Amino acid sequence: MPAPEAERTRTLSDFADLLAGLGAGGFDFSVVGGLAVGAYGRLRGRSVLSRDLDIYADAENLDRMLEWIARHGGRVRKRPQPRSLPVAVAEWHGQEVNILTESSGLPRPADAIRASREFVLREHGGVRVLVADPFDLLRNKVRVGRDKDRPHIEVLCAFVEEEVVEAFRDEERPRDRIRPARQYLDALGTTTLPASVAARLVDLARLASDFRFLASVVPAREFFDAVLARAPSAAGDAELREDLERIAATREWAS
Amino acid sequence: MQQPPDAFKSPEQIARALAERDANERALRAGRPLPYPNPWDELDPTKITPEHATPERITESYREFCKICRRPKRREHVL
Repeated sequence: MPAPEAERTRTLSDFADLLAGLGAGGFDFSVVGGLAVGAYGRLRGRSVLSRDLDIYADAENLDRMLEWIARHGGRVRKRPQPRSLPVAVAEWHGQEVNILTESSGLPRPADAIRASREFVLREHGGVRVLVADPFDLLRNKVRVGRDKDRPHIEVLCAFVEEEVVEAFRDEERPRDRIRPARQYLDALGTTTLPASVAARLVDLARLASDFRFLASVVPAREFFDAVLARAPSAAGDAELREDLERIAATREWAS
Repeated sequence: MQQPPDAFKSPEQIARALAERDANERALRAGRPLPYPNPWDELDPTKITPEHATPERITESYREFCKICRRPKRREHVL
């Protein structure tokens, strides 16, 4: 039996007409929340439960978008009030749309939109939708910290971990190789990588900068020993090995 | 003279910076090369001093800058 309409998981496709209209209207916004997580999840064959469309925009765009929605058959149910949550709620063909101007862990709207990625909805004539960067979304979900967000965090971690590993495997420039891993640590609000990711990165390390970075972020002494074992050991590499030992001396390993 | 906040810079350093800025202003007004040019300006030939430029010139300068320093391409995913 199909799920009742209210319980059905929705995707960006369910809001394609609204997203296309807002895009054509020239509004600056990005999709956040469960539908954004679901979009990244689908790229890896995962789905998440999400019903409402959450849009992130600055206050000026929020006001103009609400006007646009009201003019095009939608209904504005709530406008942001002083000293209350900075969110507007609208209804679009029976579906809820939330427009937020701030949310814990997300950069300011202008910065979040600049960092957003573009999703192309093939089944809807190639409608292009900006979706918040997965590292920003993960930081947001971790900071908000609700029980119901745990499956979303799991999906986002699985997605960004692949990007962290891909960068170590495919990129050539030191900063490009390390950047996603740093973003991942920042999003998680931690200083050490999860063991499963650390193990994969250790196997892919090849530049001196890789080894220095890993020495400072691997979660346990055994991983550091693996870093040291893989580090180049020719006579000319003595400085790197000294650096690694120096970094290890500053670490407090979990027992 | 403005006092340095918590001695980030000494009064002598601030005095020197203000004197260099005045010298640059005088040279700019007289159409002479700046005696204390900002070394970073050499990397950006499109740079202008906004207080001496029209809005159209500022826009034009931004367009020139975008040609030598493009925004990174947005990552794209297809669903």
